[in-house]
Amino acid sequence: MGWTWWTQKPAYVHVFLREASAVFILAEVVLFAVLIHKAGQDAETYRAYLDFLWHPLMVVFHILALAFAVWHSVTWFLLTPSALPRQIAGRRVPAALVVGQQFAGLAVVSLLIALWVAWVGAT
Amino acid sequence: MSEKTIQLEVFRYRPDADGPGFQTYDVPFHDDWVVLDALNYVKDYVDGTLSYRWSCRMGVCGSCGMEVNGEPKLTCAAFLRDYLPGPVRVEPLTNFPVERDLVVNMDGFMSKLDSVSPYIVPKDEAGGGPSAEHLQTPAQLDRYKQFSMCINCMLCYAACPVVGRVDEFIGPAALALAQRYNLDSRDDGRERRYDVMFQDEGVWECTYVGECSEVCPKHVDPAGAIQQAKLSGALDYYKRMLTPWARRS
Repeated sequence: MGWTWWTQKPAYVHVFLREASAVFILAEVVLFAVLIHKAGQDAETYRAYLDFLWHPLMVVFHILALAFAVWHSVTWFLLTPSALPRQIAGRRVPAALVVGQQFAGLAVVSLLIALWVAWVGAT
Repeated sequence: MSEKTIQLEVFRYRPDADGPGFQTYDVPFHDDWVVLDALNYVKDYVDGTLSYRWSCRMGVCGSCGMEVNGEPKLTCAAFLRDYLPGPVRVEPLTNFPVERDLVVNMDGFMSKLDSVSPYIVPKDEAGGGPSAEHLQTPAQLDRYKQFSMCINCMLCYAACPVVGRVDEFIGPAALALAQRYNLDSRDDGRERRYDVMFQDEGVWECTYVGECSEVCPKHVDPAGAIQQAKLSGALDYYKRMLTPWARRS
């Protein structure tokens, strides 16, 4: 099996994209770490970096990274029922409950962050 | 009216003849025929030199696993009508050495299966002893029953890209079976299986592609069993680190 094994079946491509999402997440984390570093420097340096992040090509990259993050999250959430023990405290846990809880958790955390960003923006 | 036919493209490899290749056969089409019926027709009426494994014809023995149009299938459960208008390409299972035609060498698989002690290891005297009666509740049975339905058809090994890339990977069926016995309340063999299951080529090699579970004709979900084993293995690791004096069970 050569290095192109992941192109042989659609299912392999899906998994490869899920794993490849790590590259985009890492890049976004690095960009964010640099942003924090720039925030500690003078205003002009910070603003220049913000302009760089808002460059059309970078915006395309951010959207791509978001798409990969969503793909990873959704596919992983759907896989978790079979990855977890079938029973908790001797009782079978329905798969829909496991998946639903994760999406609900994601929604709550996203809402809290959105509210926090809106609150910071308003003050 | 002429009889309706469907074309089979069958992989041929005879060590004593030319190299590998494909041979086509036109076989009668019947709505209730499976690919295995078509192969049996070829063997009985067209070409007696064709070699392949089969036995029960009812999805129990796990002998007739082959690649049908590139997908690992039990040929006794793959209906010709699902492949109309044809041709139907039949090949030996991927990721196994071919011995002859559609027959693969199972030695590697058998040795991996053997390595995980796939049987109940009786409890010692402290746990009631091997001769004691070990009752099991329906809830205890439910913990492992799905993983006990494996028929060793090896379709999961053909579907797994990790098996294809890492020869030493213990693989889906054997690891799922190991997890099945680890989850059995009557078993005391967890420690015996530990080194094989949690070596680099054990559960940690699995990247959760999940194709093993997709192709499993018995819905065993080996991918799920392996992920569950990873979780229990990680917990075991921390228990061993924090309580090195405790006996493992």
